[in-house]
Formats: sequence, structure tokens, C-alpha cells
Amino acid sequence: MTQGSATTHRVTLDVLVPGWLTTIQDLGRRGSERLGVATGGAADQYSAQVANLLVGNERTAPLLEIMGAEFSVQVSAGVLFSVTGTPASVLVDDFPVDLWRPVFAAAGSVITVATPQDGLRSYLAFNGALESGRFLGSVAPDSRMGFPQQLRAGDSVGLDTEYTVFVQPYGVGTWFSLPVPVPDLSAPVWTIDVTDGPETSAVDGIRELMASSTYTVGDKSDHIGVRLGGPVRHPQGLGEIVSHGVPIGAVEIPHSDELIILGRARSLTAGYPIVGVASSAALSLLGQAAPGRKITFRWIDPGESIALYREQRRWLRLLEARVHSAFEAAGLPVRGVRRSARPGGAAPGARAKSA
Amino acid sequence: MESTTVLESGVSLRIQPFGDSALMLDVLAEDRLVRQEATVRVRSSILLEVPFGVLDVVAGFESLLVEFDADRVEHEGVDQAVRLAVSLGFARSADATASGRVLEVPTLFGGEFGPDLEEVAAELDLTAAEVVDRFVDRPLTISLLGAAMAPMMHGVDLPADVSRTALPRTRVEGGSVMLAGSNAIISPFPGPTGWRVIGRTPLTICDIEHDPVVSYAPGDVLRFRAIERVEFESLAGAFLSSATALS
Repeated sequence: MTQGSATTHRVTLDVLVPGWLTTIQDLGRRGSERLGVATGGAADQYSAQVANLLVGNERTAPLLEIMGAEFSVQVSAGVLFSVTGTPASVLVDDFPVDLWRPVFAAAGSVITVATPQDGLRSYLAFNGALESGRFLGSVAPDSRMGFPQQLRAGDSVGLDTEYTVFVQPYGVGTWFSLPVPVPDLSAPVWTIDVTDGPETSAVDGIRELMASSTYTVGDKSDHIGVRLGGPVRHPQGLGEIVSHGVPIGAVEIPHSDELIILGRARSLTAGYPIVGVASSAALSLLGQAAPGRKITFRWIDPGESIALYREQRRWLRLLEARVHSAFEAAGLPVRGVRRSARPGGAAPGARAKSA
Repeated sequence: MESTTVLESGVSLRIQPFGDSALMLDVLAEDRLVRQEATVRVRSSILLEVPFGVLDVVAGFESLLVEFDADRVEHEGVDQAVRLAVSLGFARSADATASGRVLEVPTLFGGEFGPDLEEVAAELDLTAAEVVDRFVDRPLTISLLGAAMAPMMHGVDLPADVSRTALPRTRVEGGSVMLAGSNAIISPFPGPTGWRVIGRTPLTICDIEHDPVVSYAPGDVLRFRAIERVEFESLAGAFLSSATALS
């Protein structure tokens, strides 16, 4: 925190409508996979980080991951919040507000996130620290181990914030010009960049098949994996594959006719061939893949994949630096280390939007 | 990019890229037990001093996944750092991987708690009692923690490999003691599995409300002890710890 004199006060967030599945999230556990606990964390890490940065938090701060239908929460005191992720309707009481911007809500008002379009998950961050239990240092859910972190109607969540009301209702957005590349989810078929996996060459013609086919996201998809219906081929004469660790984004072919792109809650693979690995820069988009979503693949080499990821990270650093300058100038509470950052041209697959 | 390094006579380490942010390390050797034990040592060599940019290490029985931050480092640099760590740590790790701690795991074998025991015995041409005797006679060292901190052990003393179930079970209970190949695992929580269930411990082995969450770590030895129904009931829900080891 930058203002030594700033005082923290407690705000209560009362959940009125819980949505299908709303959880307290962060970016996941660090160093837990050596203990057999998946890192977990927000499925769309880009949107989660931007939501936190836009309200002056550190990227790793707890926030809400909202899936489906309608979610609403009433705040006991003024808050600075931001919603990112899937395009959706966001209201403060009955007043529509923008996504991908810092927004002010007064004491007693109701924030609603509803009617998601094109994507699957919304991220709602508040300036300050959300109160939550932690498991291995993180608030991210691990439902198998008994840490669900799910919010239900009637739940109250504490928020410790230094933010005090001093701006006009709803919009602080007009004060800033923040470089936020907003992912474009409107394409009818999403293209996921993918690099070779260890068994790509063992499955004859799989590269051509995946690049020329359209797959449909199945409704059993979750944080463990996005399941894709569509044409697959199975390996011929592949020996036993001993269970081994797999990176997030690994594309495996199970015995059934589908592809599974493994997500952040995956564990060791049960010996299925891995025919590709989704680019790290594409993982946030996959976190927005709702059932019925159409997907195809584009093969790239690892060097290109790393370059795309670094581009995404550079934009986050730039945003972080700009938020810091703006918040400090305005006397708004802001956390985290200020870093210098340079933009490296237009962010791929995203259009820059001034908030 | 692919490198192969000799660790010791007849044992080498192959390192390959796995996506844009990870390396796959495979230990190569004729004998499976040699591969598995060398994998444990490679793992501890890397964790002894985690190279810059490395985020985590996911252990398999014969391989390791090294995950790194591609914003800071790339495959070539991590490959070199890993080979350095292993060359410095591998010889030392021969002794360091064994903790000397022994935990006793009371287990009720067969029946409804071990529905696959009879079939496994038939597959191995043994009686159910012989399978249990051989299983409890050999203390097993934890080589890695699998999904949800499940202790996984290699080197079970049986005459042949145990096959997996043809169709995975959708749910086995927490505490299930299971076999596949020459490996054993205890499932800490209910869940689906393709492993063969031969028994169940009444002890809770992992509880996120408990401090510590588990009392075992790779390098510890689990000693299984066959119990009857009465003892199962009396121990139900107790937490596995070194204290229960002394019972």
C-alpha cells in the first residue's frame, strides 16, 4: 500500500443471487504440484489479472469467478470494483456500467452481473482484500479435497478496503485512459494455437485433422478439462504410457472419440496420448469456452508460442504501471510494485480499448 | 531441443520440451525399479535448489514434468539448469531421499473393502491370503504424491504386474488401498479410479482442516498391517500420523 496514512475499513458483501457457480478465486497455488495438489485458480487468468489491476489490487488478490445466469451482491459501503471476462450485462442498481473499467458503487447499492454472451466466466474484483480461508496459501477452490469456496444466496463476504467515496456515482472511467486489450470472443469459431505434444507423430494425420476440423465444447467440461466433440484418431501400436505429469493445455485423446484440453485442476494423466499443447497465450480464451462453443486449431512452433505469451504479459505490465500512476495521482489506494513497461505493438487477438 | 545425460552406469536422463512452458524429463534404464528409484533422486536433486524461473515439478513414477515461467526463461536455459542441478545433486540424493520415518497403515483387506482382492490373486495365481502376506511383508517407500496428495509407492513384491480395471470405477471410498503394475496408492478422498482396490484403511490420511494436512512425504516408509473389522471400526476416522505408527 502506498499511502501510509490510509486506513482500512470493513465492507460487507451480501450475496443476493448466486449464479450457477460463483467461487472465490485467485491465480492458483504456487509450488503445490510437487505435493500432488493441482495449482487450480481462475480459468481465465488474463481477465482475473486485469480485473484486479483495474481496481488497484495486486494481480494475485482474491476475487470472484462467476459462471452463468445472474449474480448479484449488495455492498454495505462504497466500493471500487471492476468486471472483466465474458461480455455480460453489468448493473449498479438499475444503471448499466461498462466492463473492463474501474467503477464506483455507493453504500447499499446492488451490483448485478447477468446475461453472459459468447463466453462463460465473469470476474468481479473489489479494491481491497476479500476475506477468505486459504489452502496451501491460496483461496482457489479444490472441491475434491473439500475446499469448495462456493458462494450461495445469503452468504456474506468481508472486504477490507482503504477506498473511501469521493467520486461521482458509477463512473471513475472518464478520469482514466487505461490500455486494456479486451479479448474478442465474438468469432463464430475460435482458433486455438497449439504446439506439438510427445505423441503427435504417433497419431497419423492428427495435425491436419485438428487444423481442418471444427470441434464442439461438451457440457461435461470443467476446471479439469475442456471436452471437445469432433473427429479424432487413435494411436496405432503405441506401447504403454506410464502415468506422468502434464502441462495445463495438454490435448489428450482418451479411449472415447473426443479431445480433452486439460485445465488448471488436472492431475497425472492416466496414460492417454498427448497430441498437442495449447499455447499459454490461448489458455485464458479456453477458460471462456462454454458448452456448444466451436473451436478449431492452428499449429505453431514453441518459439512463436512463447512470443505470444510474452506479448500478453507485456500488456499486463503496461496496464499495471498506468493504473499505478493514475491511482497515485488521484489519491486512490493501490497495491503492488510499480514497474516500468513498454508496449510491444498491438496485442494479438485483442482490440485495444480505452477505459 | 532434446538432451540426454548419463546419470550413472546404465541410467540416463532424457529432457524434451513439453509445450511452451515445460520440460519432460524421462529416466531411461533397462530395469523398471532402477528407473523409478533414479526418478525419485532426480526429483530431489531439482527440489534441493529449484532453478531460476522454474515454478513447479510434477512427479510421475518414471518421469518428471518441470514447469517454468516462459516470460522469464526458455527451454534451453531450464534444460541446462536442470542438468546442472542433477549432476550436482544426483550422487548426494542416494541417501537423502530416504527420510527414515515409518508410518503404520492398518488396513482391512478383501470383502466389501477390497472388492478386487480375489480377482487380483487369481490373476497372479496366488491365494488372497498370499497376496495380503506379500503386500504387508514389504514396507513401501513413498516415491511421490499423486492427485489430491495421494501417497504413491513403487516396488510392490508380487510375482507379476497387476492390471488396471477394464472400465474405471466411478467412485471408490477414501482410504482405499489400491494396486496397478507394481505400484500401490492410497486414495485420500472418494473419486473415480482404474486402480484395483484390495483393501481400505479406516484412518483419514489427508484432511485440509488438519495441521499438517498430511503427515507423510516422499521418502517416508508405509508399513501396512492387516486388521479385522472390530479394529477397523475402533480406528475409523483417526488421522494417520507418526503417533498411530507406534500403535
